[in-house]
Amino acid sequence: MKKLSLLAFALLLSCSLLAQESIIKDFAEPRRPTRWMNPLCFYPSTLRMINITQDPNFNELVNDIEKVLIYTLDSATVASKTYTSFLKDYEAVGYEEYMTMLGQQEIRIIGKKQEYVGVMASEGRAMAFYLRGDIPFAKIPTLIQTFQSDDVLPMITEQFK
Amino acid sequence: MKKIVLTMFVLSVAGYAFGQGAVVSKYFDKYENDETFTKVSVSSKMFSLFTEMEGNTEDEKEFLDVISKLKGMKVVASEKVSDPKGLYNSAISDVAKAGYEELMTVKDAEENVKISIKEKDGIIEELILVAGGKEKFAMVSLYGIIDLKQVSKLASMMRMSELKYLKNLEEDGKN
Repeated sequence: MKKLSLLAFALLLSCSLLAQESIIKDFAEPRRPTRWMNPLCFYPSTLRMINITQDPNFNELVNDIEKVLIYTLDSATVASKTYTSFLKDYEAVGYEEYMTMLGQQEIRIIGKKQEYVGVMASEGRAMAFYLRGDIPFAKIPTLIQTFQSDDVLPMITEQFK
Repeated sequence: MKKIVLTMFVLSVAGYAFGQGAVVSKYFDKYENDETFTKVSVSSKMFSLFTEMEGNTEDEKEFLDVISKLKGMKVVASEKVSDPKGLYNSAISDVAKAGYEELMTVKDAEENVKISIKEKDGIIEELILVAGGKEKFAMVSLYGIIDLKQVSKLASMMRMSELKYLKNLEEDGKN
C-alpha cells in the first residue's frame, strides 16, 4: 500500500512538473520563427559541452541546473509585444517576480521554488526561456559575459547578443 | 476584537510594504512605456536567494553579505531626457515630501546628485538616490537593511552605471 501511495505521489509530482514546463511550450511552439527552428534544450552535460574553453567557473555555474529551454519567438509576437503573455499563466500557478527590466531591452524573470521562466527582448528579437534547477545567482554576471563572449558556440551567442 | 487587531496589523504591514520604494514606483509607472527610460525592479524574492549562499572569494562573500540584507531595488534612468532639471527637481521634491532625510548632495558642472534615507530605530530601511545631469536622469531606491559602509561595494560589484553615484558615499566617508 505504501509503495502504491509513493508511486501515485511520484506520478503526481512528475505530472505537475511537466505541466509547469508545458505552459511555455504551449505558448512558444506555435510562435517559432520557422518550423525547423527548434528550441534549444540543455541538460548539465550539454551545458558543459558548450563551454568550449572549459572555463571552470562556467561549469560551476551550470552544475546544478537540471534543464534549460530557450525558444526564439517569431516577428509577429515581437511586433505585437505579446511575448510576455504566457507569464500570466505562470503567475496564476504561483510564480512570483524576481526581476523586471524595461526600456530598449526588456527582461522579465519570474519563478517558483527551483523553476524560473522569463523573456528577453531587444532590437526586434525576443526569446522565452524555462530553467529548472539551482543557480548561483552571484555568478550570473559571469554567465552573461560568457554567453556574450565567443567562448561558447556561436549558436548560443546569437541568442544572447 | 481579535479580528480588529489582526486587520489593523495586516493593514499596517501592507502600508509599510507599500511605502518601501513607493516614490520610485511612481516614476516607474509613469515611464513604463517610454523606451528612453530604463526601469529595473528586483524583488525581495530575488534577494532572498542570496541569503543561503556562501561566497568562495572575499569579494563574493562581501557581495552576498550586502545583498542578502536587501529586500528590493528599483531603478528609473534615462540618458536623454528633454527636461532633466525639471525632472530632477520634481523627484527631489517628491522624496522630501515623502519624509526622507537628506544624507548627501553633490553638485558640479556636470550633474547634481542627492542621496536621501529613511531611518527607523537607527537602521536605514531605504536609500534613494536622485541624479540629474545635462541630459541624464537617474533615480535608484534600495530597501531592506542598508549598511552605508557596504553600499559602495554593491555599486562596484553590480556594474550598473546608475549605481556609480553610490561610490560617493565611500569617498565621503573617507574625508
